Amino acid sequence: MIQNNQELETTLARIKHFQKQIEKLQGVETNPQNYRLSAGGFLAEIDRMNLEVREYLSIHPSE
Amino acid sequence: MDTQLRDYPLTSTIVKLKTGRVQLTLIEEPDWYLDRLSREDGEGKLYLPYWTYLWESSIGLARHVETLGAELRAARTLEIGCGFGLTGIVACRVGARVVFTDAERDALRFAQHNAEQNGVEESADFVQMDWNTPCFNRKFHCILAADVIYEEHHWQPILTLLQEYLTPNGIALFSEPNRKNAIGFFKLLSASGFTYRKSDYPVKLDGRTNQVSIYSVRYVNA
Repeated sequence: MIQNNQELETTLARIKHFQKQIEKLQGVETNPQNYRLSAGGFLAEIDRMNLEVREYLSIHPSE
Repeated sequence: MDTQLRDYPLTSTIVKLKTGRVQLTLIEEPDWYLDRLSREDGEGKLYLPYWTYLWESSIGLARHVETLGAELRAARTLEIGCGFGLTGIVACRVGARVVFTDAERDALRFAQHNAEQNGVEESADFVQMDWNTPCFNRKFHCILAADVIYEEHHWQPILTLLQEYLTPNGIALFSEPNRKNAIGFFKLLSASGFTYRKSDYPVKLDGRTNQVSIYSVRYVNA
């Protein structure tokens, strides 16, 4: 639950950080099945944070 | 300190709880670990090092555990996916006897070091274990699990672990940060003879506020 614009920026930075981690794994993991197993946790975290961003941005600050 | 921990760039943090503070030694920059892992294990199976982060779900579960007091006093307790050991340390403090487990050997090293520096090592054991292949011959009154149900392929092995290792009147405590798919796991538990109660804890970590849900799980007939 993002509470203000500062937390929004922190969340966006964290999403980008995890994306880079996964990109790095894409570069070194040669087995697709192992890749999916390894990346799943960060992908789940990215999904959760993207939903938080959407929820935050869907509400006007006056609400 | 375990000499192998000195291979890591270390930092420490204090987690403030109602009943006191927990000092944790952590990895200063988790990316450093990924770089190292990638180089050394390039031909094997790679795991992104989730344990190198302190997750909000472990803080939320630790806060819940410290409220349980009497329920956990002298309780034989199992923590799966212990990471840096925060939740298990708090369980030890309220009187539980905790077996810390993690699939990653180095995570256990950190958990053991953190248990020692918080003075609870006498109540703690450390076992390298993957929850897909549990290795105990006794049941536990309490099972602790912070943020382990984020993927559906984890659900059945964790359910099996509960069925095999939770005592009939025991309690399992799961925490998770409100992922949309989590409800599926608890539906699976409900369909398998368990009941649960949910409570929420706001956790501030790394400049973000997170709503952490705690699920207290018991057998229906307990």
